[in-house]
Amino acid sequence: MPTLRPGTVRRYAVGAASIGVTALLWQWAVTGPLADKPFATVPEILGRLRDFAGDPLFWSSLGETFRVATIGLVISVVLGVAAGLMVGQSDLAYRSTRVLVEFLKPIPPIVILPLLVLVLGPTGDMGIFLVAFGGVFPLITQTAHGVHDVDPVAAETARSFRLTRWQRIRTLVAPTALPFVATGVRISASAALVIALVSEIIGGAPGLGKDLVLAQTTGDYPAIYALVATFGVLGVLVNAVLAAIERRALFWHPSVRSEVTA
Amino acid sequence: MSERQVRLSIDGLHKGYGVGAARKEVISDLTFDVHAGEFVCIVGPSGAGKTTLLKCLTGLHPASAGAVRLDSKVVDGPPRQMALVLQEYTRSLMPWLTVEKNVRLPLANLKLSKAEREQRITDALREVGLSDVRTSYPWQLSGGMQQRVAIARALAYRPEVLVMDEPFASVDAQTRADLEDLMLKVRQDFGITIVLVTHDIDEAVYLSDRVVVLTKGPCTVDEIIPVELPFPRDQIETKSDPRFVDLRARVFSRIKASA
Amino acid sequence: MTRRLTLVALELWLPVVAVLAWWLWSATAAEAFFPPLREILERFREMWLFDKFVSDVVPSLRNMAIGFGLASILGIAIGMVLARVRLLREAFEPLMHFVRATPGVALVPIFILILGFGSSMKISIIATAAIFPTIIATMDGVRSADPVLLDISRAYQLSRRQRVTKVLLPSAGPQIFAGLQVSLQVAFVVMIASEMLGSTQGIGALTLLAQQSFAVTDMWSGIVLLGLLGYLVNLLFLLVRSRVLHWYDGARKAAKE
Repeated sequence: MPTLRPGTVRRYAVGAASIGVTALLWQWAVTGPLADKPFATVPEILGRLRDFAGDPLFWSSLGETFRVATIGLVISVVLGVAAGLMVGQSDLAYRSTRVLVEFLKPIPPIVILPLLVLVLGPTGDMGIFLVAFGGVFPLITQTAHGVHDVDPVAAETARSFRLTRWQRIRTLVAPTALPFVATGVRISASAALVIALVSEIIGGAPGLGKDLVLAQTTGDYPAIYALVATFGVLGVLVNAVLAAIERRALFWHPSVRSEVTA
Repeated sequence: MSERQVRLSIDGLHKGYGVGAARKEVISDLTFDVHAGEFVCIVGPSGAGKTTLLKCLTGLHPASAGAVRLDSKVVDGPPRQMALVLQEYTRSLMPWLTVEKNVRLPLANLKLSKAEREQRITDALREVGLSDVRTSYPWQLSGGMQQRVAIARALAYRPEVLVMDEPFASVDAQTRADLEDLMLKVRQDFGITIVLVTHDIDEAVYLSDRVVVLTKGPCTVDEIIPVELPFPRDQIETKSDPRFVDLRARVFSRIKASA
Repeated sequence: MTRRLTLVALELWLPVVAVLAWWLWSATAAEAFFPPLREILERFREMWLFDKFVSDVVPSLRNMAIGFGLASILGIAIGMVLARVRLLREAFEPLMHFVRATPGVALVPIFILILGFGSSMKISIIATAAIFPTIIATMDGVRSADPVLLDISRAYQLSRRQRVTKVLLPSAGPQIFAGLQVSLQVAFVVMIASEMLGSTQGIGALTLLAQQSFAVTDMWSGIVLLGLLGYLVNLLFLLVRSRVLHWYDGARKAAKE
């Protein structure tokens, strides 16, 4: 546990003060100049968050959102790493798939959402498919890139020692590719929660996102802001957990700090 | 030499970092003068605080006590009459600017006519022998050439004093010799005062009018050794001169004694 | 020459086969949700070239361009200020990371409540959602500027303006562009989402409405257009990036050799 230095204490103090000031400003604005607009007061929002804590429906929505995000992510990791390994190990496969992957990668999952809703309906399965689609391309390219990055001299050596395919993957490919895969997992994981929420907000699948749309249509303003605040907190937590895992698992590798475009 | 005008004077300079028990003295009561047109090299054992001294000299860091004066004016920030060349040539040039734009950048604020400004750039690049790579980027050039760009940038700025921090420590031996001779020529052509920090004793003796030897940190002046070798100097002739060999031995023994 | 042709053939055979396979399969499959590709392309031409081009495609792209443009300019400016002023940075950092972690799509319902369904709502939500990646990237980029360059800038008495435009911004350029690319993707997604949630105008709205009224071929043609746009917008961005950052790519290549 690092000791708190004066600079750190100051930073927390300033950060806390600015959150306090923001809350006061918000309260002043929504009770004063914006009173007739669709806002909610700070006590209303906090009260609703407290209600959420004791509301089993809230927890089941939260659980559903997490279930969709997690299963979708796991599928994208399994498929993405498998495809990336195949694509990365052979120059032929790499070149053949490059155009297709590069074309599909920048297309955000929301584009195929109407099709998925049509085929699968507004369900959790639809959300899982969407999360998997959104996460799979970063993993394919990162894994393929990592496998491609294997030192040619080391690869030559491995061949001359007549290592089996499996031995080669374990001793040579895996250590080189792992940091790249980890970066891909982080990109896909931080996108997973967002995509799950998109599948609920726009696709109508059950979960916190659907609750938000419901609150909007019924004009339940405190619930809207309480839910959006919940999303923010969840996002911060997920990012913090991912960063911590990455620091612990890959502190030794410089490539981890590559540019990330999620 | 002593009757000449004092350009740069370092007077009882102290510099330390941190507060209380964590305070570390780096420079302790340092005093010496540099005369107009003089070439002074500063050498000292590693960890003596040469880089800190240089930051104080150029006004990048404030002195803790004492003062640096340029033409009897206290230096309390980087002065207009000073230019700087650092060891890390890859980091001290802007990689997004071409060679000539790098040289031009500091000139934009000087009140020069366009013709005058371009003339200065042309002259400076010719002086360092880079007239034909004006539109290249620094990273397209070799290390020695990049350092020449940094020198050209300093020359076009027309400083009275040129301060250099280990400028040739990161280039190969042949390039290093070329650049040393370039600096002697620059001093001759432009008549500027040069203060050069180095850890290389041969280089210090070869270039200097005087060598300032620092003690181990917190550093102060150990000895100032005049180098009365004739100009023009030559890499082979000068370095085989018995006086050169003596001087080198003398500087070396001072550094060894204080380390 | 033949080698080049082989390479091109190697890169293109799979996409060609994939499209052909889709064409042939969908022509005979008689699947309700997967109409023949020939019909999709026909519908694509009828809808977008140029029947609904002015009424729907142009407004969508215009909203995104304005929203992303505002996010870029303001994001870089705010990021620069936050990098330079410690108190502001410390005050806004926690809030900023919180807002950035909130999905932009989740803010769309709130913006609809406040601003209605018009272009101003769409532009505002696009700009708001897209600004944070650029702010954070600019701030980090400016703060990680090489101290040696800052020393040089001070020693040569560069003006504040020179320091910002000639030193800090270019040196943060690679990070700023990484942030801008994320911002652009967010802008594209939020453009679609802002149209899908209750608007009747725009590519996203038409595509979702087609799905809801089981006009499957129309929906497919919308998906194809959105997919193409997603790809082309990113491509355009990469072209601009490589022009602006050619020095960076060159320097990195030089360092590798």
